[in-house]
Amino acid sequence: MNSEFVLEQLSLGKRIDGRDPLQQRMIQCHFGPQSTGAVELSLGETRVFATTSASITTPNPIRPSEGFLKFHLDLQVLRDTGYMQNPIKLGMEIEKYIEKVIKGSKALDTESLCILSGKNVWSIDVNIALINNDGNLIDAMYLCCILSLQHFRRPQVSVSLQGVKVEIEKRLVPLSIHHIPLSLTYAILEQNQQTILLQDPCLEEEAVQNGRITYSVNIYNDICHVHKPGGSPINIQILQQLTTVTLMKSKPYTEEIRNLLINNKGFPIEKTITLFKFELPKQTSDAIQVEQLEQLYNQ
Amino acid sequence: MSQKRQDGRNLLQMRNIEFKLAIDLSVDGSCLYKQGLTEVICLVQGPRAKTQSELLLIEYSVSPFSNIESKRSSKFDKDYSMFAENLKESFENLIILDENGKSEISISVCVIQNDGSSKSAVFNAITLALLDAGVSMKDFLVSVTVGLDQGNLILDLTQEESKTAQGELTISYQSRTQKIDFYELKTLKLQQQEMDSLSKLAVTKADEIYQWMKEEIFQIKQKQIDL
Repeated sequence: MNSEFVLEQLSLGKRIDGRDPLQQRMIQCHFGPQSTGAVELSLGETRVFATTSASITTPNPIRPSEGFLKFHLDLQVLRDTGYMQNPIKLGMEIEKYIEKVIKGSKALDTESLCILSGKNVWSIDVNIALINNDGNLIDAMYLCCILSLQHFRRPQVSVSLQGVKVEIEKRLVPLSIHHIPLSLTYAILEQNQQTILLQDPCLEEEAVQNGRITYSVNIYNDICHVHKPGGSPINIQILQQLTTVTLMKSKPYTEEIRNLLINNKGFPIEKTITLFKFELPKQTSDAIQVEQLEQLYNQ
Repeated sequence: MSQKRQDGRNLLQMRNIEFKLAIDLSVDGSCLYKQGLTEVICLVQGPRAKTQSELLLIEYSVSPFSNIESKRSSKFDKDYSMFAENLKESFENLIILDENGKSEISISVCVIQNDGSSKSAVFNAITLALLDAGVSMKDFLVSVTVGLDQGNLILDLTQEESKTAQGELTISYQSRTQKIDFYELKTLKLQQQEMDSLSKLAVTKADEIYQWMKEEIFQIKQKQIDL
């Protein structure tokens, strides 16, 4: 029923949340402490949380001057909400996409993570967790990941003359990110032999889409990655127009992301809420405590 | 004098394409597809009684000896599973599946030897095997890989060329409706003009391959009828 309604409204030229076809949802961000790179991002109702951590390890002997950059995705929420697609496969796909864009476009060069060639390199781990799913997980998780990498500060390291000892100092330094590739996803629908393109599809629109196309561009009008899985054939003219539109969006989008980082809002809830208090009765012997606990449970 | 590539080809020259249909008579359709040194084998077990819940099963594998670096490929490798998923999405839309849901089609495709452009070889091999099996399809899917190397557009990249190329584009093209189905552009950075010229070249070349393949298939089927 829901999908019928969505299609009916689309044929009238409307989207269910009142957006224009090529309009994105609101991005809101809350940042945690810089040493963890914690970012909570909400793209409409889709909410994602990401943290970054750094540790020093020995490099791979085949590539002695390259650090590690790993992404870990957590899509456990999808299991509860009765999501049709296989969450493991979807997680792999998003993980691969993030890896391809950030490593492939050399936004973060793994060679810049080297401390001492062949001995010590940084290993950066980004953990991204989904909190609420309302469509367009690729963009939301990617954006959260790149914001977390930009927000993160790693401890500075000084190498002594002997070249072996690594001292961790207290000053924090940012990772060297050369440019910010953006990710823009469009849902492709076919209706009355006309192709409809919707930017940033929500969950209801994702249920009726035939396919999608994901662009990765940066502010210098470079195209870093384009991926379109099959299932929704489109004309080459539409593809060219879409590229032009995407490149036009890159500048305002990048500025929006930069503003988010400059404004740097903290987490809204500062205090931790204690849900219930359970105090053990003050007794010294363990046996009595266990008895009393049992009594409490039985009640 | 026009520029030559490492293996002596012109910039816009394909490697030799050869294919053999019906190599394995125990299944409904099969194809051995060679494109230069890249070799792909594909077997199709045509509409048969259902054994699983899905209408279309695609098994994509890359043999461990296919690459230059011997590497064990696991079923849980991200790159493979992602491409397998993409293949399924492509062909689910293309094949006219049983509406009643009582029969299934299973496709298993394996890259025996990989010398670049293996993804487009996989697409072509599956299409040919499906044609051999006589499965009804909406369109003829052909695929081609193009690249950009030192400012030159090149066609049908080898493994060596894809390592140094600035950009590599793999498309699959539905030739009768003239629409692009699968589209993957791997690049460091590319301007819009370059991307447009890459996709235009890919589309025109895919059309040429389609014309050639159609002729070949007609001849093969003509021979079968004459016998």
